[in-house]
Amino acid sequence: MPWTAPLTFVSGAALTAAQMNTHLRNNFQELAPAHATLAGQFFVADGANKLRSRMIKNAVTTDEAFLKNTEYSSGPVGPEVTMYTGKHVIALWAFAGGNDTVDDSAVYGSLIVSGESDIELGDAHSAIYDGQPQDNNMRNLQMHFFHGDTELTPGENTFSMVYRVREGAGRFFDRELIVIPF
Amino acid sequence: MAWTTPMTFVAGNQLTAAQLNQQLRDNLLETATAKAADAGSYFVATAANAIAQRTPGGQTTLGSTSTSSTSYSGTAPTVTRTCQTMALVLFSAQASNDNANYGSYASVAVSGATTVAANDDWCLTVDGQPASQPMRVAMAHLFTGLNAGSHTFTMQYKRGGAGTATFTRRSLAVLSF
Repeated sequence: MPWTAPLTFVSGAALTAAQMNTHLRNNFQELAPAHATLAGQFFVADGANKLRSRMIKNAVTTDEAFLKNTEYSSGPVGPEVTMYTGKHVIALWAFAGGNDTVDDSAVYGSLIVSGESDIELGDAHSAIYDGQPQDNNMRNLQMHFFHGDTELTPGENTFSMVYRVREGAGRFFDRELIVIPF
Repeated sequence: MAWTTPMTFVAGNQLTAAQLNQQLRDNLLETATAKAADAGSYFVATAANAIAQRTPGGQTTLGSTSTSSTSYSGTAPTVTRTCQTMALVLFSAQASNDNANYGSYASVAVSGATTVAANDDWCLTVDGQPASQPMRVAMAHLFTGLNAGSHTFTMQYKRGGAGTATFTRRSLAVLSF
């Protein structure tokens, strides 16, 4: 039941069951304890007078992948996080890696979003490791704020890591994706 | 007192003090407003119909530490927080190795109600740099499956195949859930 602005009690006015149900029962059902269903959830506003629970979620792939694709679309996808997202999302992702066969040649890790939204972050927002000799691996963090007004559609969305190399063969391992929904 | 599912009021039924204490007093005491104690805090579920206050934690250690070990060790920075099941840990360091093209690694270990050793799976890594040339990098990891209770998160460090790895300007932040 939606939240109703709490009424102002007036001396001498008899309270009805309907009023008590609206202002006490229904409003209490909109408080955080009523929305708490699982340990680890946190609480966000989902509109005026509307509270919802959310939970941070991650996905990890420690396996090594050796990739030669120079376009994200022709490479593997994952790890992935699928969840209901509200207006905004902060995504954090990291991978260990480097170019295995060419000195000073970049490897890239970016994100795509599917489901209610259709987003490809591409190189503009990717993690990039460049300038290292071959066989040297970096591990650094990249992040992106998905803005609900211009970018993300609320609903069931899947966030997926994608990869490419500039040339040669890239090594990608110890990959983690963390999604913080609001 | 625990949260009680709000009752449905029925016309003609007389409300008792016990009902009002349970439905109003005790339930209001379970709300975020009642549990808010410290500015800058947020609220998490600890179980169905139960919430608790949490406060972000962070520490920065600007001084340097060095290691010639290939096993993780270190004592700073460190943050202690109460967790129910999870913690999001963010950390950064400026790292270098005095041997060209050898790695410097920083990770986070957990002690307290749950023990988790620092691990390469969530480390930050600087590698492939000229000797002693630093790079400042950051990392995040979501620790899941934690036992309820107090946990201490500590940054720890190791080097790659050779050389001495040095870490300065180290920062650690923890959001517990």
